[in-house]
Amino acid sequence: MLKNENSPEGRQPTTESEARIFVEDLEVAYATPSGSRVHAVVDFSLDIRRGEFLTLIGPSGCGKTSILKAVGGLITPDGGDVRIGDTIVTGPVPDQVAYVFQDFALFPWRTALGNVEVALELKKVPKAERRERAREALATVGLADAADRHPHELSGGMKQRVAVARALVSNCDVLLLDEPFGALDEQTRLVLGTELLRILESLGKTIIFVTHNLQEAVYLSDRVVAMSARPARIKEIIEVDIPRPRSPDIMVSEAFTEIQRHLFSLLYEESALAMNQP
Amino acid sequence: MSAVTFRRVGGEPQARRAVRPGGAGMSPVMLRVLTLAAVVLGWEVLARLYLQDSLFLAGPVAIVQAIPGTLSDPAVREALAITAGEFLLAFAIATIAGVLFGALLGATRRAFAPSRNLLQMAFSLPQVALYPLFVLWLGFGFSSKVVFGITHGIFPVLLGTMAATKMVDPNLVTSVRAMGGGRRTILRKVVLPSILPEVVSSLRVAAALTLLGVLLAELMVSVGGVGAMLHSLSSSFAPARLYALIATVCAAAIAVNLVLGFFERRLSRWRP
Repeated sequence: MLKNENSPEGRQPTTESEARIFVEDLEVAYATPSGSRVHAVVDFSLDIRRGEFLTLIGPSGCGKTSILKAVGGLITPDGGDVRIGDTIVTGPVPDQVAYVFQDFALFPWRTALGNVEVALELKKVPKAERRERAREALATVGLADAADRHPHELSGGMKQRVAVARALVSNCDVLLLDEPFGALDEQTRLVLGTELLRILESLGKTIIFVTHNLQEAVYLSDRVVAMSARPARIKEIIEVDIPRPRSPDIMVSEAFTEIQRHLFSLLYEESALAMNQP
Repeated sequence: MSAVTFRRVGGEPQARRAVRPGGAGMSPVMLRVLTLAAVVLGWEVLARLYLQDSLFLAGPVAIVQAIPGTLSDPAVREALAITAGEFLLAFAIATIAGVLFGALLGATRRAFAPSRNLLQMAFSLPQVALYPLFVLWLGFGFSSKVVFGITHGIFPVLLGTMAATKMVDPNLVTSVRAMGGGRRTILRKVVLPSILPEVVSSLRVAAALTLLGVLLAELMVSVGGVGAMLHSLSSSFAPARLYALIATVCAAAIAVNLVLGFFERRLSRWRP
């Protein structure tokens, strides 16, 4: 559900021509069970470049997920707006935006293949075509052999890859990844992170990634946005100018650890603040 | 070396039997069949020894022999047809209304707890005590029996569907919304498949209770149906026919249960 704000040729300022997603003065509030309203996000503005891998990192419960949901049109902001290209987001945008959620959100009664296919089913893609595209997507994430297994027969890492395949199968330009490795152990997380990066570097998608893992953030991103405790504000934006393609050995390089250390000091303070929030 | 010895000992059938002597090696199915056979045999022996020409009890053989005759009796057939019709209508209504309202209440956060408490309380009432009211409002005939069947059967469906609907994974709903699915798609692709196994398992309970409601009503007011016929047979000193009819009703109830159980297992295959 996108509505045209301007005709495509109406706006082409040089600074924005490279950008893909524009977030302006975003404000998101929640009603608590007691009836009062809590601000999750205030005055959040950010432009995301085309093909960029951008990470939002911050203390838990700081409103990162709210920003992601507002970008994907899953919640209506209380103020400000989100534009994807030339259109304002007013609801889910399945043609342009695909999600990977922290708990994978797989259908337990569908096989891995069926779980990937569902994204195409909702777009009314004919059966034979969606079967083939789903198989391809599973092959991309290295799960061609697990197509007929149900989620309870898959490991956490495999489920996560099924979720990634589902996000890739619809060929959206924008991927929103909400702590996609959050439910995995540290080792699986590292391996999958490297693998995901290898896949994504070749696809050139615009990605917003939410995490609270520093190493992951630096390793995957072009830019890392360090956020404050709730309500979420931008504390600092850090450019990660480590050349791509990246391999896991850069994690021990001087440049990498330098950025990671800087992020750590930014976040430590905010996490301490966040700990004392209800 | 020792590992090899271990495996060999464990694999020897004799070794097993030595540990668990007697019939412990028998499969559970075999055990069940044998138990049932022993009960039936004992019953037959007792019937032959002590119950010759009894007015109240009959042996299994006599009952089985009486079944064809009983079932070909037009009066019995009519009674079976009446009860089957009442049961099927009551069960269908309990199923449809129970699933619809159960899903609605299960999806409404505020209504869930209060309505569940109310329904659980109503479920615990002995409805038999209220049957005179049903007769008062709906008369002796078809409708009071059907409604009594519905009020027996609907509670497990309502409660089961409510609980299942509340358990629907909200992340799956969000995920389908993100993929462009509207309310209808969410209902069809997420809610329905998630609640189906629970709904069918609640239908197994509901089927038994609906039949109970219909038969109770027939037994009490005695106008038509199997219940009324059981009532009259029990006072007409024809035990073989009485038991044959009871056996028929039980067989039908078990058949319904088996069919629903089959569907329940099929629909739950994806569960770990």
